[in-house]
Amino acid sequence: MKKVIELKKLSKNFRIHKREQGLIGSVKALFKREYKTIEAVKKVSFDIEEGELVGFIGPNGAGKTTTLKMLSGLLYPSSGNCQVLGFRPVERKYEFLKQISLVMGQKNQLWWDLPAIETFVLNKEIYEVSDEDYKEILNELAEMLDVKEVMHQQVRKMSLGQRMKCELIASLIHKPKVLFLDEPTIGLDVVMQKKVREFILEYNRKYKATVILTSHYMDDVKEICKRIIIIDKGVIVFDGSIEKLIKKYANYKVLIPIFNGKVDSERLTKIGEVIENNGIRAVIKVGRKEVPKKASELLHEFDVDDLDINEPRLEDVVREMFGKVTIRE
Amino acid sequence: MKKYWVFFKSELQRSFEYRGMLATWFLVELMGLVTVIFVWLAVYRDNLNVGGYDFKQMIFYYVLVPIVGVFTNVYISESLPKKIKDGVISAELIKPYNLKVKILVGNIAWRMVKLFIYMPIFVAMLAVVGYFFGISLSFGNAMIGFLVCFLVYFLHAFMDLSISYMAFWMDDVWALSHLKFIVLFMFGGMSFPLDLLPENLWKIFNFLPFKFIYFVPVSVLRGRLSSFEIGFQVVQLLAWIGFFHFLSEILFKLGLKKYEAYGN
Repeated sequence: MKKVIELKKLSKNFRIHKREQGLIGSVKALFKREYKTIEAVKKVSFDIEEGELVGFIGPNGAGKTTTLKMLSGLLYPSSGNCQVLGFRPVERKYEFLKQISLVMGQKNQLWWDLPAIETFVLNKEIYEVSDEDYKEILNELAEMLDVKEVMHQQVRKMSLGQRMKCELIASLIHKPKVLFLDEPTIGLDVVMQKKVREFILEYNRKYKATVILTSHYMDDVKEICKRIIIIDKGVIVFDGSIEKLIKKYANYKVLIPIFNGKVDSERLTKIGEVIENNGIRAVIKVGRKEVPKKASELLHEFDVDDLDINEPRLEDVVREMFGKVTIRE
Repeated sequence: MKKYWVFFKSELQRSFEYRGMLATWFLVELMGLVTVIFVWLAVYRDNLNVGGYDFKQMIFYYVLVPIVGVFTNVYISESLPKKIKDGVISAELIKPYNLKVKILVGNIAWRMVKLFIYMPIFVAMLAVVGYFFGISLSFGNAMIGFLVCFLVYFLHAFMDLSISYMAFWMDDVWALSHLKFIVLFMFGGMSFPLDLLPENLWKIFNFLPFKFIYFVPVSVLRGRLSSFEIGFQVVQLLAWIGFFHFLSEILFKLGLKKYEAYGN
């Protein structure tokens, strides 16, 4: 498979102005300014192949968006190299820009005072899309996202969900080969989130587009991405499949019994760590190797109506991971 | 080229959405003009002539100022710096077009709508001046004058872009933008004809670019400059356009290296 995105020891530092709190701090800053350098991204290296769907996750301020901004040519790296589709993004060559798209959930490219369709027409010309291709893709995208009627109304009068869908269409009119999605489902309700996810998957399947997605919603990552890259404090701490992540960082499984009568949490502690228990349904953490033994104990010693044995949820693993992982340089 | 044509059409469409706002702004400008005329009325109560201008010529000057302003006034630095600071400009930087051309094209569209809305008032003002004072705009002067205005638009736009791009380095360029406005108000010919300045001060401002924003185009429209003087002013004007174009290009290129794409 062809490498579409290559990062080699990519770093980005920001110089920020440090100021003491309050009025005195402001006055002092007038005469003497102190600066601090923040290493937002530290020697990050990874490759992404054509058609891959990659989840790029990490806590707030981990360096996700900064990395995406460097990959799309918005930010100059402080050191290291990156190539996207064989181009150096910072050169912002038209041939490169025509093949990428960056969707930022909280940023808006639609013209606020005009109907969304006007932005689509504008993007058609900006990206030099032929009339035939434009009609075809617009029809297809509008149908997939169900905005055929809405796109003719003024953007300012749209709901957040409608606007996000139109943002996606505006970003995809030119059928980009690489799609950077920064929190594409932020602020959307669960139904709309699901629709957007399905749409991204369908777009990837149909156009073999390479997609990097950042999101705080683990459902986005679970449903869309096979591979995840986890960044924390500017450093990559994991790169692999979701299964590999769970196996590597969660040495436990979750037993979820449903009881026929009320059961105290205290009695359940002999099975494992009780995460939650309402008397009838409990969630118990058990070491991977002990699962058969503990499940058998549970079935023998309690009046169990049903028992599920699950892998831990991705969000739990990630949450725990950020709590205890040792970051490797 | 087609993409810029579509930008132009979209901005035309957008500006028509704001036609009410444009009309209100014109009223504000008109009130300023009326105030200035009253000030001069007071000045001319005891004088027949101020610095070579009689009352009629002075009124004609002030009638031409807002007409020239429609072509030469640029407000890019009132909005672009904020877009740079807030990172809103990111959405534009990742698109395959020349941002500067897009801004200029959009600005021309707004100006055309403004001209369309103001035109009847301008015609009425010129008709009143013609009727009461017997002063009219000659066709030849109007043609050359509007050609000069067209060039001045680019000078002011590149100057304003250079100020705007300072936002890549500075927290707030509002002060710079306001300073430009004050300088143009005082030394651009907006508040009074520049040849009323003391001679030494006039010599200095005659070498600076600010006179082109109002004073020079108004002088051309009034027929106060000879062909040679117009030619000389145009050469100077082209040199300043070249300078500010170069400056804005350099600032943009360096600014992109500093850009921090805040937000999100």
